[in-house]
Amino acid sequence: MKRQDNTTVTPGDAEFAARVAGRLRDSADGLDAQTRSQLNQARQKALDELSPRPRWQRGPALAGAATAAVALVAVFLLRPVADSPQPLAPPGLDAPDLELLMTDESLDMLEDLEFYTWLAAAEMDGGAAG
Amino acid sequence: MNGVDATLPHGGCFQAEREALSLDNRRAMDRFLAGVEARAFRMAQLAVRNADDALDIVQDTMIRLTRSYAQRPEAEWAPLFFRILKNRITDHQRRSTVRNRVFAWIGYGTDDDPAPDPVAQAPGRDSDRPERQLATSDAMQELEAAVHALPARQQQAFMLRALEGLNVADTAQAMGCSEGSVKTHYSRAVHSLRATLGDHWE
Repeated sequence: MKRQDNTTVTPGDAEFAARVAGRLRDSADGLDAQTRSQLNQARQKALDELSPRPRWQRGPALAGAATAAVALVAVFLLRPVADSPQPLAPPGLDAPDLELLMTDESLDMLEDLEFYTWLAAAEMDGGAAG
Repeated sequence: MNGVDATLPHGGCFQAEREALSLDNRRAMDRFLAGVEARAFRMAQLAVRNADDALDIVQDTMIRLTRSYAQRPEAEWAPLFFRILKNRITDHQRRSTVRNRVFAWIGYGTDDDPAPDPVAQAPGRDSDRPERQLATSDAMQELEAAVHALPARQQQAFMLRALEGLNVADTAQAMGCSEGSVKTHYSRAVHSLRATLGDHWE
């Protein structure tokens, strides 16, 4: 198959793309009931954003919780550990990475945070025991 | 609410009118989201290869769109929605990279001791289970793998143009790049997919 350059879409390319897109569309239309239901719930949750809410339920409370979470993790990860040969933070993990890891307006990382805290504590306990 | 318009003074009429507008806006947004949610889910799923993560990404995208852009003209919703979706996918992928570094640091997933990731080991949704995956045809699995293997920008251009049917201008807005870049990424994606899947799809 000869093509003029790598930015040209031939009629054959367009037909191929349409066929591929058709298969992908079919697969989207054929999502299982559980996923469809969860997407519907997600949509209703999003539409709730259009309903007026009391002032206290808005951003500042969430922003405060996120800030507290970041501060907690920073203290946990960066505090000095007296007799640990391990570095205080993962090699190559700098402040922007930590920020990326920890900040999320939806606060879904709070669940991960709890998990990481537990994991690190378990690791330390294991290390101390062994 | 019955008969409010006819009996209340100006303030009441204003209120009722505003509520009606709000209801219209909500219905329009409901229609829009219902129309794109399945394809958006598939786009996210192909990008992150995990149904639960894809669902989270789509839900977050919906919330951000309604929270920040519901008052914008309906015609702008599609490019805005897919711009947010793209950013959420990119954010997820970057965060996964950092998360993997943390796991490696604390001892999980090293080459010497490939301990299983407990999150990855958790039970998934129906569409992640082996019997469900078996039901997916080989050709479809190959297609998904080929799309997933595309560079991110090509994948975005292909999904937005071919699957979602956005025009070049809206795709450029969604991707945050020029229309020329969209054309380049799209054509490269098509050529790459055609080269990968040619035997099965041509």
